[in-house]
Amino acid sequence: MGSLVNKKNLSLIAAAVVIVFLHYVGFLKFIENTVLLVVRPVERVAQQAGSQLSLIYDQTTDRRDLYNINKALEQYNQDLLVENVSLKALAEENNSLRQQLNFYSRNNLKKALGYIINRGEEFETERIITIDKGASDGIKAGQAVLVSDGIMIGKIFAVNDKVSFARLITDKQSQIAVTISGKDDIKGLLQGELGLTAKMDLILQQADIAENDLIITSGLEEAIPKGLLIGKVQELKRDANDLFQTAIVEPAINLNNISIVSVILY
Amino acid sequence: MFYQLLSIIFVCLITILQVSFVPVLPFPASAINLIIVSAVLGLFLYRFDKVLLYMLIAGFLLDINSWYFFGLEISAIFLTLFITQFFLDKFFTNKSIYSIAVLMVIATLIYEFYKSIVIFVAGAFSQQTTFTDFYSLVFFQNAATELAANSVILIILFYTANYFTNAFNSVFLKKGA
Repeated sequence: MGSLVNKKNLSLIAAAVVIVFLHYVGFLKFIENTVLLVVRPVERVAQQAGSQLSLIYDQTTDRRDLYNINKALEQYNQDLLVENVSLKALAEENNSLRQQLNFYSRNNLKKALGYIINRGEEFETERIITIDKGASDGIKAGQAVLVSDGIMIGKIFAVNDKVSFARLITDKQSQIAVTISGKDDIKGLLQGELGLTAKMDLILQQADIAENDLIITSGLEEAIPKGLLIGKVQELKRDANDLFQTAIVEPAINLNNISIVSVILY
Repeated sequence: MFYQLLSIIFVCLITILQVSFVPVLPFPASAINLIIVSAVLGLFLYRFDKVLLYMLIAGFLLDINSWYFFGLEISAIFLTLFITQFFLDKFFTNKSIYSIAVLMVIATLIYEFYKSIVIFVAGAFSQQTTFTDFYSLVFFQNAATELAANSVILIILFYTANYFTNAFNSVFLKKGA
């Protein structure tokens, strides 16, 4: 401490005391005002520089915060979208099930409800679905596969114990005996066409058939009841020299968006 | 003389920065106390009486810009300098970063606690402020932030000074030299 107490230090302490004393008696007013006058512009510049710096920092952090909020909202939006899609799927499933149950109770038919667990489209013309119900549920080859309120979409062609396989009506190898709704005398064979539509062949040339006529099952097949809706006539192909005419049939339902089906245990 | 004049201008600029620039910076940069940092660094680089003179100028500038009573800053700085120099003389023999950092902590604590005590005592007569209100958690949080901010600045300045000068380098005394 001894080195701190020396003449120079003591005189500086004394100077400080004098400055404080002179301030309170008002002798320093002029000096203080002059110093402030000189210093003020520099202080203003320094203050403005600090404010600008702070503003830049705030803007940067604001931008970062906005980015984070945006990311969080995007994630939330995605979650909601997923939730919405799953709820929509559930609603569709529910609706589909209700329609199918109504159809069966109305027509007094037995059924096996199942989910599509696989879709086989190895070839361009192939449209096959795998259903998670099989022979143990009473499913047999040749039975009709339905959706909604009695719309036929395909026919079982192979059955395992626990799963079954059906060709959709658009499969090239699919063949279903059909007729025109309200025109029972017109009968034909519905075959898949390039995996997109189906065609009704073997319609006599003189048969009264028009576009938008509804195609239904004819009931000629042992395991398929009469009157199941399949689609409607989209286009007619007639050639005067041919014995038969052909109707291009558009399925009554989009076959790509199906998840629940029923099989008529007829 | 010219060198001294430059030093005084530099001290004034530091003080102006402390008064006008630092407080508007975003937190925690606004907690930096350039006066304390300069004082501690000055104690390592210059003679004590020189530092005392420069800090008297800084204290004067702070006091005329302060809304507290005149003399608070000068007395706080002087007290801080004397106690810090005492610690430097008695307990810290080298000029390492550790010594300077510990002294900075001591200086900051003395400066802040002295000012707060004086302000509290002065205000206690006129205001209804209780001790627990004044020395709340926020006060200690602010003090801790200031310590951290000062330390960061001091470390940066220390290494910068070390790069350009040899003032902080160890001195070896040779026998017979």
